[in-house]
Amino acid sequence: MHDTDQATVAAASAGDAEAFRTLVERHSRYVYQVAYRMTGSAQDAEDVVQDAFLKAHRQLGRFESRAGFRTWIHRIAVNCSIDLIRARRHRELAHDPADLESGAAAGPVSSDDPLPDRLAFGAEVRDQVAAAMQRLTAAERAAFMLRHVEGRSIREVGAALGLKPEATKNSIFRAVRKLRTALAPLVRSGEGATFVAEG
Amino acid sequence: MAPHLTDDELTLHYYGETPDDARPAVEAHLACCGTCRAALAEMAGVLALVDQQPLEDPGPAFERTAWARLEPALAAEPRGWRAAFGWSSAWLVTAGAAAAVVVAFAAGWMVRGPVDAAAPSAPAAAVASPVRERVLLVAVGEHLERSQMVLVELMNAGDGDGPMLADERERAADLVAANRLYRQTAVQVGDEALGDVLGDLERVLLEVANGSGELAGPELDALRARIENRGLLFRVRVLSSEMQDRERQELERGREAAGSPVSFRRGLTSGSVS
Repeated sequence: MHDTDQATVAAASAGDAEAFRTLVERHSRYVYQVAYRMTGSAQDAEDVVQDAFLKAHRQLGRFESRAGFRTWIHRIAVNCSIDLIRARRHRELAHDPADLESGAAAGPVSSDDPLPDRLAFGAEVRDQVAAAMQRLTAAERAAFMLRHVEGRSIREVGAALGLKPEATKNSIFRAVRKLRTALAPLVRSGEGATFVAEG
Repeated sequence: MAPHLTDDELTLHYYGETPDDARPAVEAHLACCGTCRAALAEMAGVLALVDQQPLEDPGPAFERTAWARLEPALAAEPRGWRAAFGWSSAWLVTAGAAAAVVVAFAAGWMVRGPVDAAAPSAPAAAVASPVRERVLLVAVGEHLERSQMVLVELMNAGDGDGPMLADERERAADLVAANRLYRQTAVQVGDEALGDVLGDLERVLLEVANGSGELAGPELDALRARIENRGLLFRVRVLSSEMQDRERQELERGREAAGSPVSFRRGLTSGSVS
């Protein structure tokens, strides 16, 4: 796929609309997934897909083929996600600090639930991880994703999100604490078991 | 034995970001403390669950709908003289949205005046005007927040951050057109304080936007000096905070006006943005 991107990008850069459409169809799902991971919202992720490809379209002339189109659009998508999160940061509702300790909403599999065998365990775990991620604030999620998934240093995360170093650290610390509170029981109960995703 | 490592220390260690001067002590503690090693392993297990989480699936027809939504926007991309003058669609979309807000506000501001409390449509008019004001307050407030973030990036950038600051040029370019509209509106309605801040902000945004490549060295130093000498970051922060307060007040007035025929007069006479 990546080898054929080079020719397609060259054609799109020269004004071939169908070539750009090919790039969108080839990479939009991936961009959506990057954006959803950052924002946690389907609507926001769709908006980021639009913004990212519009920016890519405007900047095609600056694309350097040695980097790979997917790597390039990935960076644009992350930046668009950051812009969206930064713009909305002051208007998001803060989570109740009590949620940090209770973990009830995203707690372990209850004794009333069907006994999770190794195959069914996949769906339960997925749901609980998803629920735990949804309990992060937008800033916590973005900071955590940039640190944990994108591999940026805390300093780089702060620069990207417009946060001071201590605020950046605190966002990441809170995110990890929330995830541990919600998911540690799964880790303890699944000790030695292999997580098998449902096919 | 030394106290156990805190959750935050474990997190920094997990990501390899323990400060250099603290690293020997942390590693020595982990070497001899089973409790902390177990906590670290549990953390790693939790984060591994996050790593294994399948990516969100947008649905089977996503590529088609993404293109269907994108194609009209691409068709609206500037060509010819607009491209030559650097009027990207981001400018046009941002300026267009800002202009729509300004027109809505100006229309409401111009028709606001004494209203017959007995007229059946009076409560509706009383609600409509504060709604327009809130729309403008929200728009200007968000604009100030986005601008503030650009200024913070510029002031906090360290050596070697030139490549990262290149993104700020594009953000500044997106903000300039809207800033101009809001500044002109502020001047028209007599809000001198807002007009002054937006004027100084516009000069900085233009400087950032009109440069090219990395933002570093003498250019960055000059920008920072301008921001600092004008107290611009502080003034933008204060105004942003005031906008949020005004927005809350307008929201309360709107609720009162919608819920109580007697109180709509207070909403009418609550004054303009200034």
